[in-house]
Amino acid sequence: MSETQKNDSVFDDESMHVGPIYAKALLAAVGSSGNVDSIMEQFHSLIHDVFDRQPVLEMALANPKLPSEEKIRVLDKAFAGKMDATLLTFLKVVSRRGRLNAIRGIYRAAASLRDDAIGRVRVVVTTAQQLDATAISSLKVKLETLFKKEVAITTKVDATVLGGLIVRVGDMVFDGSVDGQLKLLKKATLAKAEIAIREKLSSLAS
Amino acid sequence: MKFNSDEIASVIQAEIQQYGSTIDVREVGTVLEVGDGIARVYGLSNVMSGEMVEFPSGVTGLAFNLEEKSVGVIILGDYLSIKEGDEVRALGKLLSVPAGDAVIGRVLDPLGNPLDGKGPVNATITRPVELIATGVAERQPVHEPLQTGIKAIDAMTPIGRGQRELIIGDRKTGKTAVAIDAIVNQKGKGVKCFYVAIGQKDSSVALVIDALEKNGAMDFTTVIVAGASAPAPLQYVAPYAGTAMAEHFMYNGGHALIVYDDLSKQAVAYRQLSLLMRRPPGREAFPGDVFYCHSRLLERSAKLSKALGGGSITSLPIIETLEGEVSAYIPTNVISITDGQIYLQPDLFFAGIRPAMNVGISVSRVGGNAQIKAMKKVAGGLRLDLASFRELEAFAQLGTELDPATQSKLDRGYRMVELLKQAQYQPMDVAEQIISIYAGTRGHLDEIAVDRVRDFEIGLLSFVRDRKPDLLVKIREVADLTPEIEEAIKSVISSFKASFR
Repeated sequence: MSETQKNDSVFDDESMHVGPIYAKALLAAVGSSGNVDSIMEQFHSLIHDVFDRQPVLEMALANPKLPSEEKIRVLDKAFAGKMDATLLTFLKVVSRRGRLNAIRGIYRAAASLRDDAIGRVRVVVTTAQQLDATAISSLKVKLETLFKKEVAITTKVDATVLGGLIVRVGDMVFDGSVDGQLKLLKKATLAKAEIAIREKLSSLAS
Repeated sequence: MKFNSDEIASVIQAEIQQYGSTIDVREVGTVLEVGDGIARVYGLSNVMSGEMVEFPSGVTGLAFNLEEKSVGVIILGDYLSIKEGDEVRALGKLLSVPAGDAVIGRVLDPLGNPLDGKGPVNATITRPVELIATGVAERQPVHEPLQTGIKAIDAMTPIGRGQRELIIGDRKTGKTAVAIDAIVNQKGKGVKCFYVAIGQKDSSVALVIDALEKNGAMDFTTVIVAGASAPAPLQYVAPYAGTAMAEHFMYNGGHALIVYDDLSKQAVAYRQLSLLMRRPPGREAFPGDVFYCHSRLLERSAKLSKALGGGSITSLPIIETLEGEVSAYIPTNVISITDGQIYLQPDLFFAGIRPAMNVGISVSRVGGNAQIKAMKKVAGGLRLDLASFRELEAFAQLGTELDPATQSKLDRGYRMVELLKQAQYQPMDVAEQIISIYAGTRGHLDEIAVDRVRDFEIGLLSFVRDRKPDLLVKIREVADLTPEIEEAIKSVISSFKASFR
């Protein structure tokens, strides 16, 4: 179960619908108290540092068989004092509504809502080798002047790219990789060769 | 044949040298789930309805359902190679198929890929599969006949160029045979034919292709096949693809005849897609827009105005009914869309009346405009006479004494029914049709025994062909029943009759 939950491509209709609703409520609740960024950071760490490492905890919290009082007790025990009060209260509300199974959907929706609010774009950069910090920062400056928006870069390493880089912004992919270039070249060459063969079918045959 | 590999290599080398490095910009999504011929895709936020998308395996799809969270895609090809998590790419163009002279004589799948093993389709022209039909201003009324070569149809329910005539009937009543005869009869008439086989056994399609080849009709015919084993999306797009190929000829001033065999199977494929896409089912579980699915297809058959070249597409959609149930959903829909129907009945078929056309409920809403004058004069009233004969015949079976007038009407009817029988793959020329029907309707057959009527007709026509070929030419040229021609026909019939018996 934990394996499928990690995969972004799993079609989870419920969390897709529920996520934006709870995320909106969370941001609105935090908005009045101010420190949105620190709360989002805590939320991020909750998902990636706690749930990713302790899938059992996440499964237990998502389990509808456990009564919500029990879950609230666990949440209190684990996070009271360490976590921002607003976020903890929010988690309790989610638990009481029996929606802790959609927590990842809520986080994804909250993150994208926050990006929209402050005009930030998330960019995934795929390269063949790990980029060093200077390369990332210069890339960041370049992308920021291009999009005229704040850019948050996530890097990914994929050896099949061979060289160059693939930049993905939302649903748009800008493919400047060697792999992509080679594929395009192959397509264009094959098409040209096909036309040439057809045109000179008689003269090519010896 | 051998290829000179050096020359090909030089072409490739030139292409590589000229290749400038460009950044490939694409809009992508991720496959969430794959079903029977459909995929649900997350992302593709700017894709438009009907736009083509491409899967990593090279299979294409069409954006079919645009939803808030995902995009429903119908997959045109092998959907078994697609996995969850695959990257889907929007191509920003509409599905199109090869068209023009290169497709004539070929057997193709709905995407224009060859199925006949005769090599690639060397088409330079492509046309979009989905196209909005021409408007009122671009059309003119149907006025030229499209001869099917079948006496019963050309005399009683004539079809004009640009008309849509439904062929409807139960299974095994000769629906396809009527359509094939109509195609075979277009030989030498400059009409390009398209036979779209949807959801049929591949063996029956092979039989049709064989029949077309044997009768020399494959030279001007394209067969588009989405067989019973083809995925539902291909069966759904097949008629649109066939129409797109036919439209090329229409818009260039030519004439085309297209047969959809059959649209009930296409509706079933569309129903499957719609249900998988979770569109709400309506009557008989068909989606709400199944009417639009057929109406937008059949509206593309048209007779263009003179300004646009006067080209035409005539369509013969076929619908299979279950146990003669014409009031089912799809039959009523298509009956209401088309300009008339040819209704084929099993009991007539098994009584040996072939084509098994029920004269009473078969109609052509274009009517006499689609007939030459001579045929109009000879066959006028034939339909009503035959319908009233059917009534009388039922009455006569009660065994009552009949007055001489009724008896003669019955006798004429029996002979006309006999005369309208016609063997398969033997379409008749208009002039010959006019002579035989003249003989029947004007009472020249009344003294011939019913079981000898067909012999008489065959003899008469070969007599005319041998002795008076100029009469046939004259009928074709004048296209009218002038007193002079009428006299000539009369004299030919009486002189043959003297030698008959």
